[in-house]
Amino acid sequence: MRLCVVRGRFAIPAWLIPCLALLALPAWGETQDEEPATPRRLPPARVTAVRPAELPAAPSTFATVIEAEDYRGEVETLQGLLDDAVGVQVRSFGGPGQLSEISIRGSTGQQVIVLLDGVRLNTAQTGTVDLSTIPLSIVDRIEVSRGGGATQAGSGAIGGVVNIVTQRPSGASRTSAALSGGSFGSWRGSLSHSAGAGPVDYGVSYTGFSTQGDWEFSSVEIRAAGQDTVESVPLERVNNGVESHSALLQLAGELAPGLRLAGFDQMYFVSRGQPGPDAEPEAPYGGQSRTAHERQTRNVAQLKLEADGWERLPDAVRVESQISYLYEKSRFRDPMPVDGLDPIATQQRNRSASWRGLAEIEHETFGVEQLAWVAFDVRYDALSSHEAGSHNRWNTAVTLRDELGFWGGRFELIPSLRWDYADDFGSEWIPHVGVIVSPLAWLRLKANGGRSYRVPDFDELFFPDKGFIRGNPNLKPEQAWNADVGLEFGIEKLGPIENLQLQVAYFYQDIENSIVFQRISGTTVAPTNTNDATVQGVELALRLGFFAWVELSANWTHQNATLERAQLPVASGLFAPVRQFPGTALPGQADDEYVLRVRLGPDSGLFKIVAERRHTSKLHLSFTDTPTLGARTVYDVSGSVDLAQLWRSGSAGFPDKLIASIRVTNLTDEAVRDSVGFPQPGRSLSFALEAQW
Amino acid sequence: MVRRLCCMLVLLPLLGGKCGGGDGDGGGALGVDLPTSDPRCVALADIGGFPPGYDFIPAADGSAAPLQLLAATTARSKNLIPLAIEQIPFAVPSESAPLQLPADSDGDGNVEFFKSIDDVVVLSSDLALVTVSGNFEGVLFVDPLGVSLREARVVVPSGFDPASFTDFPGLPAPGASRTQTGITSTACIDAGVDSLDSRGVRLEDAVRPAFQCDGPGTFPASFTAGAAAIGGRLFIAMSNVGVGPGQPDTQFLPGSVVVYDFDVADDSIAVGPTLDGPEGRPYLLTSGFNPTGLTGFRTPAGRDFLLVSHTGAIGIRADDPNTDALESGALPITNGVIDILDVEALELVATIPLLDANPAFDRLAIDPTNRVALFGDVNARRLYGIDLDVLSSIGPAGSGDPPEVLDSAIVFDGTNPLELPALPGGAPETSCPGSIEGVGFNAVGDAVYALDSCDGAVAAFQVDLRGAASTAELRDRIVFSSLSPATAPLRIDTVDRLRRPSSLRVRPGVPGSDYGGPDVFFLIGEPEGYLCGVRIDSP
Repeated sequence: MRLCVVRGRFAIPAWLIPCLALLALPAWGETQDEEPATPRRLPPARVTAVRPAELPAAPSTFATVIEAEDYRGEVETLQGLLDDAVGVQVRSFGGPGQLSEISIRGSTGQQVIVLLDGVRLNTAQTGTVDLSTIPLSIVDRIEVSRGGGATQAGSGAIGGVVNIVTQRPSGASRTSAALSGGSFGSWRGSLSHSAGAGPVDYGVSYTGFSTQGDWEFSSVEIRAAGQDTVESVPLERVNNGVESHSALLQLAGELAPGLRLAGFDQMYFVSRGQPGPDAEPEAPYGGQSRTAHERQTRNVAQLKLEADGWERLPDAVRVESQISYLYEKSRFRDPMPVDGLDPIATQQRNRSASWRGLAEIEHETFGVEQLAWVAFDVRYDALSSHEAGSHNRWNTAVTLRDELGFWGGRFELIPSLRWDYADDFGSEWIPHVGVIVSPLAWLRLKANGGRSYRVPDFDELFFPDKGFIRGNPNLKPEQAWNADVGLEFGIEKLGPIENLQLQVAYFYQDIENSIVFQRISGTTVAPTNTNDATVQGVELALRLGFFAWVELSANWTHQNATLERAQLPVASGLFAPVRQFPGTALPGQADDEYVLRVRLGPDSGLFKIVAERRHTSKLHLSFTDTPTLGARTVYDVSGSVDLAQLWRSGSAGFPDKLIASIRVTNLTDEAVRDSVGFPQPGRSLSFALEAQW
Repeated sequence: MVRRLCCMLVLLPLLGGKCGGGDGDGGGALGVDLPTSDPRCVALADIGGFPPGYDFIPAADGSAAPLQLLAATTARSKNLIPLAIEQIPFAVPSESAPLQLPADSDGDGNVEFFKSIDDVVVLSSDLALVTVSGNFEGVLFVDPLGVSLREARVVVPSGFDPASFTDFPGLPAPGASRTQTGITSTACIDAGVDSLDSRGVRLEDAVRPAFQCDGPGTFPASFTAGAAAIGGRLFIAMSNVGVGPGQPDTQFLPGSVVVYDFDVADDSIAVGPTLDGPEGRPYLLTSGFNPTGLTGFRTPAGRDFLLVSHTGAIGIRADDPNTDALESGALPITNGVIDILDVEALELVATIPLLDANPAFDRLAIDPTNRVALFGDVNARRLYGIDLDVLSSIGPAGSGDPPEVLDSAIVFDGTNPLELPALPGGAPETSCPGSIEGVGFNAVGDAVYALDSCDGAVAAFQVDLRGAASTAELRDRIVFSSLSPATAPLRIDTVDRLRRPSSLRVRPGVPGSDYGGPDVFFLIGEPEGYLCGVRIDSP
């Protein structure tokens, strides 16, 4: 029995939309019509030059799309690419190949959802994603949407959502190879090939990386009581070698016109030393571990069926169904811990299987053009740890979104609502409203408001009780309200200025039940729900070009991330404090960060010279706002030339592109740390050669 | 040509891995700034650099001390910080500099790894003891005014039993000596196979084999917890934690006190294992578990005692999954006790059982008239006390009798404690039911202050010991008078506040007469490490 009749452009009650996705394919098959295909998005009154892109999954959010191609020859890692995005802070806990996490708008790493082609990489165990595990060579672009994205990605998306889109095989034969070598015994190589074989497009890719990571650095100085109480001493990073391998297989093909089946499988393996912090400068190796070692294996797979323009579907309907699987096994060994305690040997297995069904329907109701969107998500997360035991969690969600366009699309209203359910935590209703106003062809105003939340991860809940540290099974989810407002401005040409783009946004987040590891007694540290946290700030992103040869870009993020103070009675008596500390801060956050970038070179890509200045203001180290790690300014320069354009001999087999590049990071050899205990390398140099046929 | 160039280009990345890199020193070392926002306090250490102890420095004869306090910090910054405390804010005097402990802090030629400072005990204006534990256990000798390590002659008498020499791996060979800046407290303790650990298991079965201690029931002393010098001897308390630290049933092995002969002359120090200990061994076994505080005491008749306060075996309370509360904190396993050691005879001559009590780790606070010693509980808002007059009645050593049980000396014990009130809105009882980490009498002895680390509050008591004839009478002479918050309580919503105070001590001397500035001091452990001072007694 059919419950819904669907046509290409027609009025449909909004409440009927969920049933469309449930009925999915059988219903579409019988309801095709002959109306011509229409663009999937609403008719835009927008300027194509506005690069801070509109993401289909979250059109009103402030977003940045970073095209990997734009940075060819400049950066070698995903972290380096993300570092340029406004509102984004990448925290590295070591050098290349070591753990690095992303923070958006003052969030923790657990408050940002990272997707690989739509597959969630955040495990239920830690809630974070190590960006170093995704090789840049497979990346086509990164979509960063800032601000609460819970209606888009569910639990965890308090700070934002990052979708890493891999290079898709197009059917055309393409081969690329790259090799680079740089300071500290670092080598990276990649080889990829994509082509078509009959109805199937395929792509295979391999990336390998190794580094000795044995750089020199200096321990941190501590200035207290008017003097340097701890002096800096020179040290060498030890046990910091990394070896990683990554392989990607992609298959895609059209089962029928408009019906596409695609899948990928990405495997990653890393074996790396874990020197830990230089916690004891006067001890041998500064207290770094010479024996701690980690091995991690991860497999991410996805199979996606997409019907868009399929003859058995109405033209105004797009349907998508995807199943995904993530497997991650990590092992940590330290036979001789520096603290002299018993040898450590831990092992965890994370598994996550998910299904998503999605339907997108263009319709016109009450004379208003609309794009309705409904998605169903089911995910099963499981952890098996010989220390923390076995834990699992079912997550389900239903998301409804409607995009209403008024006045020819000059005013768009995008309400959405998500119902999320997680085992042991019950259900959450997550509303979100976005507004886009496009009064002029070159100006777009945006505003968003909504809720987001984060279910505690398994480590926070079930970290084994070691007496001094333990998990807290009584934790409640973090709850947040997010809001932002701002404008995007884009002009293709204005005198000598080309492609002028400006994005300015003010954001505000209020997070209740912030989960913080803290001391709960004289003996024990545990995660707790503590006070509300508030993060507000301003983001500015500017990009402009001159005469097609010069491009300038600047990003600036200012934020004030604080924890609400506890209400304590006014102290009195003999020992009462004279006054309280003036403020609070969220640790690990910088108040200001900016990136200035100049790029010289023709559009043809014959050569490119890039210089960057990155500034990070002092980092707050604890919840009081007083102890800080000094500010830093780092300069990076790079140069690349496409030798194929110079040398192309016309002979068969000569690469279409042959790019030789040289890159110097941290040119002035500044001391860099994202947290006190984890040094990063000073000045480093690398050469790279990349060929593409 | 092109192919040749291409080949050369491929070589570049291959050779690139051989490139050197910078050491990150282009802009100088990265620094952590620790400004002080609370006028009572001075920041000593960043997060993780918990300040473990401090002591006051007396003025050297005939000269004004340029600094009056030596504080220690641990974790990342294991250093000793000299401070002038006459004026607020406290500061490192311009003529002094902090002492960062070297990797070989005792100067024995072996590099130490992962050590932490436990406390500072200033003996005079030119000698302080710094207790250290971790992978290096022992005591360092420090010149507190000069803020430098002091050399000592470590002498092992030739009569030291060569057979047991291997039980003391940190010492020179018998008959030999060498110059060091500290001395190890590592020793193999032979408590006898029939002795029991804190779990009630015979040592023969309870002790893990240790490579340096091969006798059955013999174990390496661990966790240096306190030091005292009295009567020409240096005493070092060893807690002897066994397996399972941090667990509810942490194992403690029998407590011990390592004893060295200690000869301090004007400009030299000689230290070495004593031959006067039981069976010629330079250590004493104590009657309880977890000896943590050593306090020297001389009776009016001139007899020297060492009072060894035992916290008792303690584990860490596990969370109860059936409640919403966070259960945590110390979990007492055995009761506390005070041992009285005769310093000259090196004999345990008396014990004072405290019943359901777990004395805190600090030294005992003795009133200016030497009548009463008070101390707190590590897991309750309680004070305990003993009547020091009773110590004069202890019989002579060497009788061969078991130690006397001095119930008569008890003023407050586990069954009759001196209770401190909880601070309204203070720390939750389930995780932090009180921890008295510092007790101090004021200069004239009419007030005593007790610091509760959980609530971050100081309780003041009025004291009038004059004319108290009996021990029982003393109980009524110490009366609660006020409770004052000093920091925020240890609650989950105070993560951004100064909290977890400890080590309350009163500066010796009469405020306003002998010195200016604050008279009562304490440390703060979170979020960063601070030393704070408050002026309580007016001139």
